[in-house]
Amino acid sequence: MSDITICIKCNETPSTIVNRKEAMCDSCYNRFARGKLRKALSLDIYKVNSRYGIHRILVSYSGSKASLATLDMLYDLMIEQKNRNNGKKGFEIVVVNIDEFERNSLPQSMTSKFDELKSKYEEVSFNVVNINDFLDGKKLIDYGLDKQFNIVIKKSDKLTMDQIFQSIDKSSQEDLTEILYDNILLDVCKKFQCGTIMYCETMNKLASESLSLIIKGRGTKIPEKINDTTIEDIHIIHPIRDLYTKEIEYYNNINGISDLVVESNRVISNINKNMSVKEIVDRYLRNVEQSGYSSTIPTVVKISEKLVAPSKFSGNDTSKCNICGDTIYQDCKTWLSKITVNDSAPLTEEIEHEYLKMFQDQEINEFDKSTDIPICYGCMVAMNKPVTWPTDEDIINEYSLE
Amino acid sequence: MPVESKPEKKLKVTALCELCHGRKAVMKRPKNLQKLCKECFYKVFETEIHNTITDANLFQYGETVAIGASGGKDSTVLASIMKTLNERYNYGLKLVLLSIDEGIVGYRDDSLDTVKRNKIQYDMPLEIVSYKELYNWSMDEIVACSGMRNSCTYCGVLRRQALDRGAAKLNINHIVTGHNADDMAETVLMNILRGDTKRLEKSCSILTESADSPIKRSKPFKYTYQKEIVLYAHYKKLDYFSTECSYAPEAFRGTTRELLKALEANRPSIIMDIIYSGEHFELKRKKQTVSYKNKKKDETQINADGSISLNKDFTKANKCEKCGYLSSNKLCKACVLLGGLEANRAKITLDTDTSVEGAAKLTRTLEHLSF
Repeated sequence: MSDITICIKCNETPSTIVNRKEAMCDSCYNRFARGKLRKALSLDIYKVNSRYGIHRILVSYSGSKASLATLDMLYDLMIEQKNRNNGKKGFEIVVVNIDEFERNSLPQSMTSKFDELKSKYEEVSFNVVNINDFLDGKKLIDYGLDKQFNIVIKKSDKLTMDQIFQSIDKSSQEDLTEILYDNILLDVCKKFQCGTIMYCETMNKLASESLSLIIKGRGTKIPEKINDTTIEDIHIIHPIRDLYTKEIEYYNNINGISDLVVESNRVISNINKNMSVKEIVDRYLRNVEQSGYSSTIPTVVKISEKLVAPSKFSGNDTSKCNICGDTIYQDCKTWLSKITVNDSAPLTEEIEHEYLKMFQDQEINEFDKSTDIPICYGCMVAMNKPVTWPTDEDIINEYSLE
Repeated sequence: MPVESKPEKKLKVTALCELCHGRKAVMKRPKNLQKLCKECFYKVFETEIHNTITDANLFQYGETVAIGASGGKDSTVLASIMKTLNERYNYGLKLVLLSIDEGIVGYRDDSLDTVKRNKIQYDMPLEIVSYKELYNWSMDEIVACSGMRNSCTYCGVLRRQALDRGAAKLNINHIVTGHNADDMAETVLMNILRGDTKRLEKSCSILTESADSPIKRSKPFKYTYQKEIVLYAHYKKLDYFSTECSYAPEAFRGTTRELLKALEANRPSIIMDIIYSGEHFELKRKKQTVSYKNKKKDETQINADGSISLNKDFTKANKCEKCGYLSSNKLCKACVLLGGLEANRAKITLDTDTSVEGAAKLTRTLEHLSF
């Protein structure tokens, strides 16, 4: 009896992989993976249609395996459209890369790969955006929080990305980078007259993103970040949301494009204190998957897709966060003040009053002025000063100063 | 010649409590790492719990409230603080301790001794309800039969009903439990990781009432950090039992707890951040499905967990057919779970068999060994 299994899709060719319990040949695997992307592009605007003209799709390209695979699948669809419609196509591809060469320790600059990419994907326009160029000319304000949870302005000056990042921890840096990248892509999308922004996030990435948002107090952002949505008439889509990272890796391998991947070679610490929230969540999801709870990743994505903007705060005045633009459903300062009391116990001894006077004589106001601009909870947490958190099991020894 | 007493060394401003600025700071507050004196710590800790209680309007004057007491730090501090706040703010509550004996040898029997001492210390009546009495199963027997992996699922369902039954026996319809902010954050994560759409929106509810139970439950420690509860118990010198249930780390909840610990090490506000997110969860409303045209009147639907949905007319009766306890289905959840266990139970057992006295006993025995 032969060990060779026939592909269950085409029933002709020997299978090369067993994926999701189905034996498939490479050709059928390509069809399966590309089918996921095509499903996300089912709207008429992406089809050859004189009514809508040629739609421009901006691909958020980081150089990762997922972004490369997305580009390849999208290009394949475009070429197929051209071949079937006498050279006409329904959309054009604009690749935009936000330059992370220095910040993310990429082994090489993305521009160095562009020649190779351009020769493979001929009809695609490749662009690089520099973060500091984007920030240039914009007035940036450095916000802070005082002990009563008031928003205070620490400095009001021209700042670069690195200067902003000097005063915040790794998770906050990651958080603010994402907000900034989203803003840049929206800005560039308008500049290039694109109607769609395509994020190249796999199911693993989306699960990690969703959990990280919850953990960072940004749960209300999930419907907008995880689901496909429309912002200012621009469609935001995640076409490879149904594919696992390992499926993307296999796709790149069988299509011979793995060499075009440019990913950070920075070593991620395994010490919790030195990791960001997202790095911890990624590690957790990897471990959970390996220890037999493999359905966790799709479960997290599926339940996140079901979340909507909360209606129970409909009586409250809502406002938009000045930093990330997220809707604020309840006043964060009131919420924080309610759960964290800052009243002292009365002083009874004379010496205690003397100490109080001594403190009042030395008190310095470290902030310039307070402001009442709306800031959401997630941003309030992100801009709070970094704190080191002891991990020792013995809480009493850890927190006692005696 | 008279001996001059040495003048006391003056404190530096940086060594003072960051709230009163008049007393020496003796601790860092886990919630925000503020340096505090004992007096200010007690003040903020107690006031925050009082604020939580009054904001949610948890109690009615004259109400009898059962405190779910396990003998652990959370429930011991809960009993102590409920007594303090009840007297200080005149809630007018009659407080009763209610304990569940799950039948975990080497763990629960020791912790129940603590509860018995708490009964005397806080001058409150105590009622103990055991799984063995109610269900004819102890947790040790359940774990021996079904394994450790699902231990928390069984224990959670059975304990919920046991608490209800205990409260009903005492004619009480309100139980307060020692669930703290860490537990709350853990539940939010668990519900997301398991995709539990039924519970997700209620993950952060301070007061829960369900159709399956006439008893309401509330969590006054919703915004209280577990570490602060430990510190409060330490400074107030409260008598509590500090061993964790030996079956807990094996369950899926254990992995979530590990995640939370790792995250907390990274950012102390993470627990509150998760609760803040959890309070905003809302799921898309399901579209009402139209019942199919050939459906017969006497048809019943079998749910995924094996329970059977009743037709609307039936729900008025609302009793489990097997145990008679309140249930929106024909069988209550406890009977569904126990039914599965009964099928796997050994038909013959030895009188002197102690093999089911599981991991908890072994751990306790090992703890007491010494060279």
